[in-house]
Amino acid sequence: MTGGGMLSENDLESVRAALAPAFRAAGGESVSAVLADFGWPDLLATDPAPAVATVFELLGRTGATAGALGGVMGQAFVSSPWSPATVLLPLPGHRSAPPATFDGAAVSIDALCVEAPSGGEAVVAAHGSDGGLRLALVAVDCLDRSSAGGTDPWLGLVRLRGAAKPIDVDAGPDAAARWQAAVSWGRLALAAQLAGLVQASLDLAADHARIRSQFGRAVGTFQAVQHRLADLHVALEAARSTVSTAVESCRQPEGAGPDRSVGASSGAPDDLAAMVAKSMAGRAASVAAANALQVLAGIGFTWEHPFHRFHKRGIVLDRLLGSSRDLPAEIGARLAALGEIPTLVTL
Amino acid sequence: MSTVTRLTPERAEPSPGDHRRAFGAWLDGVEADLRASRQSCRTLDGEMAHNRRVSELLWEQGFTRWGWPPAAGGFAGSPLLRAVVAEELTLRGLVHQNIFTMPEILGAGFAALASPALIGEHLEAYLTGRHWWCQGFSEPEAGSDLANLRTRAVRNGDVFVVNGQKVWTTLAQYAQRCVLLARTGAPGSAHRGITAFLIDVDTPGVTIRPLRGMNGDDEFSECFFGDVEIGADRVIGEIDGGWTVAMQILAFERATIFWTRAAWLLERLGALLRRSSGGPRAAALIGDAYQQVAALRARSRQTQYAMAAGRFAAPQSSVDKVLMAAAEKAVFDAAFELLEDEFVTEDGEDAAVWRNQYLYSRAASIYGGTGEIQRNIIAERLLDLPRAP
Repeated sequence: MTGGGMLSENDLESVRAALAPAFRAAGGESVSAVLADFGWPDLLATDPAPAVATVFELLGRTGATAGALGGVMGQAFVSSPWSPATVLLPLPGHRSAPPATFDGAAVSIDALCVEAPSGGEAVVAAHGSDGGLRLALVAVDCLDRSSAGGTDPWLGLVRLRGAAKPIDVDAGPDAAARWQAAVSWGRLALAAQLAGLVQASLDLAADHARIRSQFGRAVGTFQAVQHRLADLHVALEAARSTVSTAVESCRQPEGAGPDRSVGASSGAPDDLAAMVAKSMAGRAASVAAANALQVLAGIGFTWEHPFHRFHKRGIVLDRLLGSSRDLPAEIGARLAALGEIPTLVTL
Repeated sequence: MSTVTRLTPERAEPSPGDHRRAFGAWLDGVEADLRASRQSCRTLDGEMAHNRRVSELLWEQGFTRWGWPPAAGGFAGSPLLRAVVAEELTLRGLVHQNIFTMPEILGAGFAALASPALIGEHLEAYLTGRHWWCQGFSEPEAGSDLANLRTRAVRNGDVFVVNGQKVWTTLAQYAQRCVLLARTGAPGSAHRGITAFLIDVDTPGVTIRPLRGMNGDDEFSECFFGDVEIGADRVIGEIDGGWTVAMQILAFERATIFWTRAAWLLERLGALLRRSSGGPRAAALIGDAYQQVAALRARSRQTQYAMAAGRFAAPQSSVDKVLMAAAEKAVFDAAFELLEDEFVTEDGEDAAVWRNQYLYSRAASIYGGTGEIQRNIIAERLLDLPRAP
């Protein structure tokens, strides 16, 4: 364990109660300053997995954004000299492949970051010339920075490109495992955020179905409408349950049993549990994109209705660090490599 | 049964983890015998005989007595301790999980609502495997619309006289007892006029006719009741209070047993993984099925704890049921895709077992309340959408 204590459900409820009003009041703008004032680094150090799941779920639900993702992935470096680290993300099409390549002494980077730090250092995973995975610590100011607004201009996604001479390089035997741990941390955060925005989409659609009347009755009385929202609720509960599994996988002692695949970095989410959570949450976001919009119908298609922001954020977050379309095959490949079926949770 | 050792009921209750480890260690010693017992006859008759042997052995050893009332020979305590036993047996392929967990539905519902006298008289024989019970709920014209059931029970002094017909009664041909729902109120009394009874299946006037399912098993039955007399002391719960019994039992049917079901699906995925020749198509199919089972298992874990703590709302079980149906179909869809030639063309036992399970999985969204009913419940009870007129 890397943390200094355990957050109880009451503690987490206090976190939600304290942050929710400010997140909502931000109207989709960045709440990085709110998080910093709240003492996010301390919260993260105390009990990282529940803190991440709680705060990112709230980001998703309120539609707010913050530049916390790189630091969450940096949990993989918490016991290293690079700590506190910010980790750069691969582009969507790269899934979880390293977003950089070593080119002689320099490292050539094309990566993403939510609200890239101005100045300071960042960690990037890179292919070595021998094909092996290395980690490089680079100065962010060496890189060209451009907005990566694209589908979701409110997220604060930034693209960082360029060749940088690393400040430090980790080419050791643990580099690949550390990158995997960073990816698993990122997947946990993104899965929680996706679950939050799916809840927000479901709430919007269910409210609409209760109020909107056609043929003299609320449209929510029609079974065709009810079942779309019921399916969305089930997809959301499935996502939530797997996020809980990923959170709890951080608390289990290393080597807890033969039925677990042990995370490389102590305290990181189990790789498989994080993949499943990210995949199921992305899948729930796809169901929300289809079913919540269909129930909201015309009003949901307008720019003035809040739904489209959740819809677009779901599209983007699903595609970071492996989408719900790609992850099942990655999960299956992992199972084939393990040669067994881990049970992930026990009573 | 006469040689059953009475274990001290005041023994300290273990944690689920300790219970699983202790049970696993004991199971190591008898695993080969149980495997041989199950392999000896893979027909329904064979599975039922095997299930009886296993149930009796576990009851003797005390592993399955936790959570059952002392009046029935139980140790009280947490039913989670039985869930880990069923899970361990299932992960090792030593029981037919569907048959083995049936007392978790009928027995648990009965224990929750029957009188102490009824519990003391009947439950232990069921839990030891000496007796088998069946669930007389559905009727030809009351499936999803259960409250519309028509089998009548008319009071005549100390007895009720039952007339009517039940259908989809699981494994009724093996049963000594039936938990029967019958109308005691006026014909239009819907869910308010139903009473639950524990009826002896060998009472004159009861006729059982097995129905062959599309998988080839005679798992279901039709049950006919012609002037069947049943004592008023066999009422479970209150007269005209049978809907409460039905809802309790259905909540168990839609939630408790899925912890074991998910374990079975993991065991089946393991078997499929070993049979698969690999490749990206297999990875995608197995990976998708696995994530759905993982979600079911994660959800069911929360459900087991909530039920054990008495803070589980019955409508929540509809989420578990929908997840279970989707996960089970995904596992056997993957199996069908990856073992296609065998599925389509082979008659050997291994192919027959996979095919049987695939076909049975098609019913997962039908039995125990259809997917449509579950979604209605989710929409109206969990999402608070207005009721359909």
